[in-house]
Amino acid sequence: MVDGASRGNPGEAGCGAVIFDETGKTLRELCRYLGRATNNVAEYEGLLMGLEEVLRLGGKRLRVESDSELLVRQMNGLYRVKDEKLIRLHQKAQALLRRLVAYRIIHVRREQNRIADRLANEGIDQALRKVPKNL
Amino acid sequence: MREQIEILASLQNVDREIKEKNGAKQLLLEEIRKREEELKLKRDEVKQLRAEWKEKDKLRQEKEHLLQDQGRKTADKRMRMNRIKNIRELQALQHEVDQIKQANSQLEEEVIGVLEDLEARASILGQKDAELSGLERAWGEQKAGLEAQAAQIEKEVAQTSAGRQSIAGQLTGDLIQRYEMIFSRRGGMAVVAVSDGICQGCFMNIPPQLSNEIRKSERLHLCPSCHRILYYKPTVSSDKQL
Repeated sequence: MVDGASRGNPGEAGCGAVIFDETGKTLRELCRYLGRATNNVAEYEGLLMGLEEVLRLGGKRLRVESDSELLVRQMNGLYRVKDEKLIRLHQKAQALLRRLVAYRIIHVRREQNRIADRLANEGIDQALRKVPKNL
Repeated sequence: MREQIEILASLQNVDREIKEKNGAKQLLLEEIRKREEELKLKRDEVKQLRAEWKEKDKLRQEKEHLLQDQGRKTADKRMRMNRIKNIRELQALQHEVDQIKQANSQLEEEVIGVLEDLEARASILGQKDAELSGLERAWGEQKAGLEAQAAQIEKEVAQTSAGRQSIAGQLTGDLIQRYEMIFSRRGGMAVVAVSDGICQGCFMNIPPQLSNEIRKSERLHLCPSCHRILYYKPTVSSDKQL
């Protein structure tokens, strides 16, 4: 399950991903700070982070869940990608997906994606905590 | 009369205590009201954001349905194209298909725009909703505490008021009426001492003749300036100080 968060859109952004095995056991919880980015970029970065980790773990079959309808439809080829930055991220994601034997990318409601959402926000909070307060 | 004035002074102490406690209780109730108002504004804000999101989502659905319809139309026309032999009809149909494709392209742009907007709104709504939940949780605990404090004060006021009844019972109706009127008009200070010939309520000089009368305590005297009930308070003489 993947998610991106951007406070301000664009603003301080982070992404999160949680990887489960086929039994539902949590294998990894990941989060990353992205600096200043839009919501869409954060969503794609969350997807990329998740995919890279799945491949590192040797995964072959994958179900990706995201609460971003735009990401899901673009990755499923239902809508085109027009933003240049998103095109690069989209192509990168496609390249990673091709290394899998099978995959599905499905849309889930926000409430079902709470873990990834929490991780995405943690990515931002951890980075902001490191910044000295007097700056 | 001296005794009556002493009782009045005791009554005044009790009334001031009641007034102070009621003031404290009012502050608590006001705090509760203010916080509830702030919370209501936050709730209204979230409700408004949710309504706006729903409105946008409705728009998205309409555009997507339209896109699907247009997609079906394009497919139908393409199928017809396979059956047409006449070159002019074919060109006309191709033109129609191209127009629909162009319209679809525009529609898709619009749908993407709406989706981006929806996701940004959903993100903000999620944050505001989480903030509101946190505030409501915290307020729930604080409100209980404040209400308990207000209830405690009310209980104390009730007890003090019961005590007041027994004090007031020792005074005549006219005297109480006069005292209560001065108490309400003079900020909770109806009975004051005269010390060194000065009214300790308004700090104006009391005429010597009146000062003497007050000292005798044969009848009720009011300050000529502030109209408070006066009683004589002996000062420590300079001899004794030495």
